[in-house]
Amino acid sequence: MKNIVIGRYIPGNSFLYRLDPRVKLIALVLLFAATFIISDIWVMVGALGFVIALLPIGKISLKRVFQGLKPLLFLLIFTFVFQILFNTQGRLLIAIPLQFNIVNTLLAFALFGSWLFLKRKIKFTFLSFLLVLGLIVYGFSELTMFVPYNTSTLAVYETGLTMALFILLRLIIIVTLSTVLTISTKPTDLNLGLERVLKPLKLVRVNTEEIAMIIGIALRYIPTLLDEANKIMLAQASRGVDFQEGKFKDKVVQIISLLVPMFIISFQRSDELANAMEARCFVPGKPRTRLNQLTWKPIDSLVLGISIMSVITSITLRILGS
Amino acid sequence: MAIRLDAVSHRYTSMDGSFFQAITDIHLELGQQKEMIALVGETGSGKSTLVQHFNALLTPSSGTVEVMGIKINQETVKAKSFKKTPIRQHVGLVFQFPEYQLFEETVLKDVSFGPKNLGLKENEAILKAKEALFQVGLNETYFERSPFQLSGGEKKRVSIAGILAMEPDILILDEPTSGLDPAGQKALMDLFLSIHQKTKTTMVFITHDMNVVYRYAKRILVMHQSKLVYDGTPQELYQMPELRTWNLDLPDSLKLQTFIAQTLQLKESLLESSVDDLITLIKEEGRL
Repeated sequence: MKNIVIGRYIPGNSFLYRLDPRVKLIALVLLFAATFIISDIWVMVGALGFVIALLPIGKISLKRVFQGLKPLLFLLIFTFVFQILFNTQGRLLIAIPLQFNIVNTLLAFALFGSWLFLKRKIKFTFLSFLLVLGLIVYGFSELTMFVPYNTSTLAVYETGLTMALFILLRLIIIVTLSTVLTISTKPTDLNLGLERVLKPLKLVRVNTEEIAMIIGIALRYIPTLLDEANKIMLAQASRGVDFQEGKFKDKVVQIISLLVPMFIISFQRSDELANAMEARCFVPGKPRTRLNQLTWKPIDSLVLGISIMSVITSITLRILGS
Repeated sequence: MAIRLDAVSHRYTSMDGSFFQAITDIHLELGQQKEMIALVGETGSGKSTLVQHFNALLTPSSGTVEVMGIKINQETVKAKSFKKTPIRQHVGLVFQFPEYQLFEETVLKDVSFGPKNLGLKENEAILKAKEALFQVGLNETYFERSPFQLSGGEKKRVSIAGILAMEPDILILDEPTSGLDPAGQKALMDLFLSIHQKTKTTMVFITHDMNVVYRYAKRILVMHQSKLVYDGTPQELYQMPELRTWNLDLPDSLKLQTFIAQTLQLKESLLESSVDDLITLIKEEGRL
């Protein structure tokens, strides 16, 4: 639970923290739009530079954002490799002949076997394993004394490479921006901002306040429920449940022994919460005042202006480029 | 030798990487005398953390816990052969809120869950469950009822039976009487006493009620600011001047005695005197 960075608020103090949550949400959407409009790779690199420059200015540690990117590393590399391998448009850049012969195939299998065995003992990621695998296939394909039974070419095309880079950069920008938003905004503020931003939906009879309320309560109860789950696990462990071990049949019973009390406690909690809210005269749908009012500051206008400018710039650049 | 704690400390790591020292350097032995032991201390003094070390729910950050000859410390728990289930059979821990453990459709099924986890066959487990339910004073009429439709006190008894059915040598009770009315509290504590006398199990109970301690416990452990500050008889504890600094109170009967002693300006301590002696004393003085 400790490693989850996406969606976690980390206390701090900088202009990003003081920004109005409404502005942050709108700016996020605008900047997302801009990254999708950009069609030139160098503009995209510039955009990434801009986003990364935002981190030290906003006093957000690069390490934290990188931790947020980590769970997506596999997805990022996968889309990158996929684009390179299967996009065959444009100029041919590199062509590497790959020959599968008996030596490298056997080596690959041996490596796979040893990886399965060794991964328990040493930390060895699947990605570095794939890299070594690729190098072995490539290295031994030059041996001509063995008859290759399959010859294929690893070809990299220009469009493939740029497209792959494009998608990679776009994903990095989007994830970084979202991480910056959640790191610098309290869930409650984010929720309030969302409520205000969605307010126009009231015209089409969507009760935005209630939606925001539901999200707010859900966010508030995540740590409480985690705490409860931990207590239940301790209580059941005292009754001889070993959550780490057991056959599949035991596992099912173990999970039921965890879920049933969890459900009952959640219902009790919500019942109590409803009573507490009623005792404080909460009436659904009635207009409410807020403890913390959102105030619009000059910096908010500035950030909003920059966001709009970046969308306009990206549109202009796209028109000029085509 | 039942449970021995040797220089046990435990600290919790919080989300931002800071530490919270819950218990510090605890040396303790219990379980040889087959006694009723009370564990008291203010909220946050580390009582619950301490008892969770008794059945290996927590592993000490430093130091060693020894349960029935099985050593538990940072090194031993890493071994593949280390099994926690036997420890939990020896030391049964009943948590404060029965809601955290009841989950089956019927009371009987729920109570037999523990024995089944220990590897007993279905019919053996049921037999143990029935025995345990009778022990806590719930008869056949309860067996097929849903545990969720019982009253608070009955739920508590079912959760205790759930641990008793595992036939532990040492029974730990985390605030067993909380949330019960005075009559229910007394009934439950009397039940523990009778189980203790019958089965000769060592019992450790966490409580805030000094009257309960005075009435039922032969030995008392006091936790204060993560340290074990007192381990001895309640009678000696009540004469200690530190009582106030540990935020502990005297039981009602002793409060009355000190009050009488003060009003009558008596020199000698009344602590050991019986109720009859007190009554004669009051009558003689005739001033109250």
